[in-house]
Amino acid sequence: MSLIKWNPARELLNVEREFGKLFKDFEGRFGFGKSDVDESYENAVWSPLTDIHETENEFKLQLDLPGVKKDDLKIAFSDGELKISGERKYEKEDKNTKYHRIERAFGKYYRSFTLPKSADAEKIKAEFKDGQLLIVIPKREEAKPKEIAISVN
Amino acid sequence: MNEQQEMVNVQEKRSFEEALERESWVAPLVDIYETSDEYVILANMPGVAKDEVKIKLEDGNLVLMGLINFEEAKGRKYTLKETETGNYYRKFKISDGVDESKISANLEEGVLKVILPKHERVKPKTIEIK
Repeated sequence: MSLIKWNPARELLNVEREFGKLFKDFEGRFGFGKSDVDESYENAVWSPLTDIHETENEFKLQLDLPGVKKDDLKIAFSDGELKISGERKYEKEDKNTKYHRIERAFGKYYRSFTLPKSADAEKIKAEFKDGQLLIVIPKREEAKPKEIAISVN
Repeated sequence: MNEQQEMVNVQEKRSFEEALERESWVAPLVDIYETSDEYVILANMPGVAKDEVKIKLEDGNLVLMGLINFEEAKGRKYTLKETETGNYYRKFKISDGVDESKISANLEEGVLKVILPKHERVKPKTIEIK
């Protein structure tokens, strides 16, 4: 069997999620406040890996979501938070199917990002291609790096 | 007859061999399952277009390869990077029970699905007693 590279980020995300659930549960039962529970976060099983990079004019997010159909993908934006959620359904199994190896995650997923003030949320654009979700958020004019000309007398 | 020829800027897309030498490669995550008629391998290859996938069969080894937009990905200024940048490569040993001439594959939404049908002789059969 060939070796696969161990990607610590992937496993840590799952651990983080489980701990998050554990603490939220605890708070819910013994804590005082009404926990501001986001239903999608609670029910999610996995998180898609994300790359964020910026250019001079915009922020670009790239989420790896292979095997997800466009109808199973929801992108919402509210209160400065960008939320991506949905579900990756499994292939139909009939009784004769025997699984030898399952590495790909399936089930409900959820990921949220708090956008910085310099991001212009009105102009978010998203494209889903080849199993990758590409979100482009332009930066506000004031936030772009500008050159200031120095006049010498 | 119009003999006018345009100067066309042809950018050579790098070949798989060049990419093998110069760029980094990662293994795609796979699911493998078996039904009574075939084996199926599903490999996650997000960001790979149909013409950038190559499947080879040599010496009983199945090799899956997919090219991504490597140069572009390397040059970015990342705020958060969780994925591994690399072309996709994974090799599997195929058993004799697979009918090599009937292997088929398709790429949909970043998932490469390879179907390996079994030879008749290895398919489960019930034998009736008369």
